[in-house]
Amino acid sequence: MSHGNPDLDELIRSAHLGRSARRWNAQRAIFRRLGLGGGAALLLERITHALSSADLPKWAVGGAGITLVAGSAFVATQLSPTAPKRIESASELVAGESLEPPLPSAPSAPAQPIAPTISVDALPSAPPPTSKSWRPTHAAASAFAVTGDDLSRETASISSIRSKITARQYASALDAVRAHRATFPRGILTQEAAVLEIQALEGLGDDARTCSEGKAFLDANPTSAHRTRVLGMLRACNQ
Amino acid sequence: MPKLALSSVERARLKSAVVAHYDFVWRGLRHLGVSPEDSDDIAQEVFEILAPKIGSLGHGAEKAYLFQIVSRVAANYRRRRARRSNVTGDGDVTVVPDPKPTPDSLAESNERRRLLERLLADLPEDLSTVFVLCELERMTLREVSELLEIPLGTATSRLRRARAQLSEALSRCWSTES
Repeated sequence: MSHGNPDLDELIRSAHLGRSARRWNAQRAIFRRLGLGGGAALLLERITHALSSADLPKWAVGGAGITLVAGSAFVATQLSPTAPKRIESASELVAGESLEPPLPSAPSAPAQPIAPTISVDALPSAPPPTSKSWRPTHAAASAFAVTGDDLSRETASISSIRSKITARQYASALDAVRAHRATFPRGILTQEAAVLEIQALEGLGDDARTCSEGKAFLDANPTSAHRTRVLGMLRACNQ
Repeated sequence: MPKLALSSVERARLKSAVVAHYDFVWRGLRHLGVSPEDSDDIAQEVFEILAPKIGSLGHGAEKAYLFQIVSRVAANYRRRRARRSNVTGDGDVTVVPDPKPTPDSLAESNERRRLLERLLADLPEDLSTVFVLCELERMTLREVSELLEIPLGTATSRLRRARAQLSEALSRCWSTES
């Protein structure tokens, strides 16, 4: 040691680690090895995870990366003959099998890297799709454009609600959730809106509604990525 | 690796676990003596072990199970390195040479980290586990007791003993050096 002998606490401070520099590639390798999909599936899962965390990174809010990937995935799902007509949530979207078509051929998809942490270059380099369900058409391009805009607005709306909650403006946040639902009745961020509503109710001290809404959420979404968070808000319910 | 027959729910849970807990797994491996060069590969092994079990785990139990795997895999890794070191006569097995030269400050920081890794490797596993989670992962004692499914008092006691033993080992280290 060049600056004297450090004590245990100094060693601990030196030992704190951030994250792997090869995190993206490593996670993508795991996805591929376990048959969970490629870079697009990983990116969508990361977006879902980011949206479910309290401190939403800026790049995830209304970013063109979301528009690009989620929009492309939406097109893939919508064009598939077996696809469900409605996408309930981002996590269900991620769980779908139809995310595998490679993104580079997505209609009107810009090839610019958007976020500093996720590069479009890192997206899967699988061979071009041959499925009939993945044929670029004018309809597909149109669907993509509309969906991309909608998703950006929806994400911005969720972000706005979250900001109100952070500012402890719970009543205002609750109003914003209602407005959000009216504006995006078929949105893909319905789970996020529901969780924020529960959080706003908790902030307002409305324990009865917090518990009832929270339990309803868990019943309706038993495998949600938000489950732990909602369970945390329901700790007082059984007391 | 043979293709796993996972249901859509299991696949969704596995994806979520990879994204949510990758950093936790990677840091756990590093703290328990896995070299930076190997940590990403070993982290991959950890999730491969988790994959077939994901359906049998309770919701929210993924992190605890992952840490169990991390502890076991890191212990195996250290044993493998020790055996290899005995064969090649490399001496100190836990000191991993830096592949690239680093500035002085970084080198000192790395040196301290490796020293702590070496001391942790000599600690009983139940103590090192609690120490890593509390001191290096900055989890609260309550969170650690829930994660490891041990009473809060046990977690507290283990942390205290871990700190005492590490401080003692560190003092011995300095006195030997001087």
